[in-house]
Amino acid sequence: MSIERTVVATGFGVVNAAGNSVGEFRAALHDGACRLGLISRFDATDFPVRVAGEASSFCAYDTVPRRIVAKTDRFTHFALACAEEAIQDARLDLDAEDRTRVGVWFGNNTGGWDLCERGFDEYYTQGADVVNPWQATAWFLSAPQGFTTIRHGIRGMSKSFSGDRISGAAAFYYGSRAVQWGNDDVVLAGGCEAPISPLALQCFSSSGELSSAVEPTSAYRPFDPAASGLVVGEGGVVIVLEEANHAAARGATPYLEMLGGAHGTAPDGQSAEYAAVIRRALGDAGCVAEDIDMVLCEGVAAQVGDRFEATALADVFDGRPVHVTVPKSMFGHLYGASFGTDVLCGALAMADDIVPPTPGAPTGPGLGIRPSVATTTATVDRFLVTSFSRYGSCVAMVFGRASIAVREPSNYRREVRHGRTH
Amino acid sequence: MNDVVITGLGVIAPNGVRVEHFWDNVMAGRVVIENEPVMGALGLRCHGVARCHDFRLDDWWSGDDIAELEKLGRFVQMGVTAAKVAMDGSGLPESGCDLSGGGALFASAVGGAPEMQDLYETLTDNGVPPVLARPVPSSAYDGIFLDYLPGSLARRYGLRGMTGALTTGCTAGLDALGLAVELVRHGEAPFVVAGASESPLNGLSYATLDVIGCLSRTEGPVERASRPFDASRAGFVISEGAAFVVIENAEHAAARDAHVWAEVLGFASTSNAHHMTDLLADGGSMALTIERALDDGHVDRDAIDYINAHGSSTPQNDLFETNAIKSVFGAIAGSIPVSSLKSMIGHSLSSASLMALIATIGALHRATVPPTANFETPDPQLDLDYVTDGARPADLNTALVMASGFGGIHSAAVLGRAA
Repeated sequence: MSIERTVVATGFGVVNAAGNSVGEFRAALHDGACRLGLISRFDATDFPVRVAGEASSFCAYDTVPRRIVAKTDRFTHFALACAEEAIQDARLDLDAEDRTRVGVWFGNNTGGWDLCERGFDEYYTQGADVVNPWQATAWFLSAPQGFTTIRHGIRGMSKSFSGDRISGAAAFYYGSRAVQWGNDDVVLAGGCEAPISPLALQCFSSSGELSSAVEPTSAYRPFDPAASGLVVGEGGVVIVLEEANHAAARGATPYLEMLGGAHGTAPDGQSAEYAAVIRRALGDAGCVAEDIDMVLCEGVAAQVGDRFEATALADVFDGRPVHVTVPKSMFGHLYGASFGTDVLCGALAMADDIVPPTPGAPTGPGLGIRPSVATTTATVDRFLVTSFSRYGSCVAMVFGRASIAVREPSNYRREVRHGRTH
Repeated sequence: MNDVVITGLGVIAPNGVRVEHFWDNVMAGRVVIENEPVMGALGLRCHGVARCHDFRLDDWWSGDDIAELEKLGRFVQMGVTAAKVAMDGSGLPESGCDLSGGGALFASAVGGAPEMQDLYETLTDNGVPPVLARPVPSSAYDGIFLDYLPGSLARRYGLRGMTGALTTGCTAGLDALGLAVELVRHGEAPFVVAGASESPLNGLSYATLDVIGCLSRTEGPVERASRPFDASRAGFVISEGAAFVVIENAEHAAARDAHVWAEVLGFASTSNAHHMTDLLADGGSMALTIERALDDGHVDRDAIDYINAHGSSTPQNDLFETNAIKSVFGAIAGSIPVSSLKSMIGHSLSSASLMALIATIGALHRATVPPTANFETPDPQLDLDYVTDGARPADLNTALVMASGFGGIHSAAVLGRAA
């Protein structure tokens, strides 16, 4: 007999340029002010990229023990801080859980270059035999996963993903599936990114996809034909995902339900293929386009990418009214933390009856999509989050209020393997 | 759920860049570890490395492909090539099947770490900060990060399913296989080309691994630097290479009359939540992983007739693994042959576990247990059958492949001989 498993979100943790907690971030979404700024971490005067979303007021020591801060990179600090907040928010008592059925599914594109640059400095100026002993375990891309599992005694299936802008989307998608398929009962899904170091930013800028603007408030302009690219930010996000009955059994109240999703690829920039992924996600969620009140989309702020996305969305929604927004233009594109932060924006939109703003959105005709610069009022019951990478990997997921989620079983609910009779 | 088989294999390894040749050398116990002068010049304690000397881009590619690939990192070049060999060998491209539902999963632990070091050298004066605003080649991003490779496979083969990359260090290759198996089981894709590639042979990678005592500190000939299960083992030897497999729905493979190399029966992965690099001697976290992989495949303990171990040649790992095997298999543990590929070709991080998997498929296919090379002195605590006296003919039906990695991750897969 198959067992249907539904995935709900019960806890949130976030850090980025718009806040060091869900509370601060929520206030920032209502306020709507752009939080991007001229890079202050190092002297970027001569660099091709001048603006970023720095989490300037984030202090790792507030939530991460000093001895762990010392041996980890900034991207892991974000992950640990967010995991702490999300676990508390979910009132998740891990001592009461089967820790071998809890997992960590994180995205990260870049690794720990802040620490790595210090490693290079040591290597070239002091000698290869005196490099920092933490370098090997602090730099690599799944370090946040490793440190989070150790910090919280998490022993279930955990995985980390990298893939340009969909790094966090892949983690979130497969973390959700891990709960649905019965690999885990609870998943800390999200990711982190700390790309604001001289070497990392130089490498990112070689992609040709970063804004060269100098004026922070107009540096990141999704769907503006005159935009020159996206602005990177730094931060993290962790969302506690649980099997619905598991959440109910411990008395947790879900913020939202994961209704469905899809992951596909449009390697040649064909918007019809992106649209096909979005349609598969809707189908998986048992929804049609009319059911979606709001879309949080990628919004790369470059002509080719914006047209690709605008055309795909126009294809799917076919003139039906839907709010489209790119709140990341407020705090920067977070790569590994991007998708989860968009899911959090969606959850806050549902809770507060708002559509989060898109600072930097064009006031003119734009590229077929007209996000609102300011926060607006709306009722949001279901929302879609979309993301695509440089080489065309596309993720789309649909979320809704857990309370309205009682509906006919759809084909995304599948047999759970560990429940099979042998 | 769908049954899952392996229909394509591709390997670029220090001991062979063609699968049959790789198997020949694995069975012969041929060691390809050599001296690395860079390590000596840096004053490191380790001196051994294994390289894919036989990998040349123009043996596999031509024209525009070479022009595109030669600008990218070596890990990309080896990975794309292994994936091409696996895909072409699977017969899918010319099968007439609709490939649009297929996916591509990549894995790498450190990606373009050497390219990053090159970039640092380019952007600084003699390696001394600051990093300067000098022009950066437009290929830097694609040659260092992980999005290019799976995307390029989608473009080449017309795949429109999922593409992405896992980064779970030294288990990442096996983890890509594990996720591909889940996707095929649950009907998200009819097939997934999954693999890993790594070329971490740069000074900073050496230095960071040497300083924490991971790399081999053995005395004597460099060929013996990797000696899994030996009493004098003292760390692993770093190496490079790529390995890809095509994971396919068994019915899909049968319908097109594909050659099946092996069946994937089970997979599991857990974390020890103990330490980023240290392992507890009792092997408990690997025992849990093996038990889950066996349960996942509904495989009885006594069905396992060969174990390809992580066998990294570090003092901790080999004891940890031995105790895990003893804890799971109890009285029969001593009768299961266990061997380590790393004794011959070192440890290529993410791709090592998939090279081990392909070596294991060779064992099933050739009915031969691969040996563990370089074993001389028994360790009283390590008392399993490590196949130290050369390859051994055996009737093999079911095998276990294990991997452990930084971050405290353990993964295991169970393979069945093709029917």
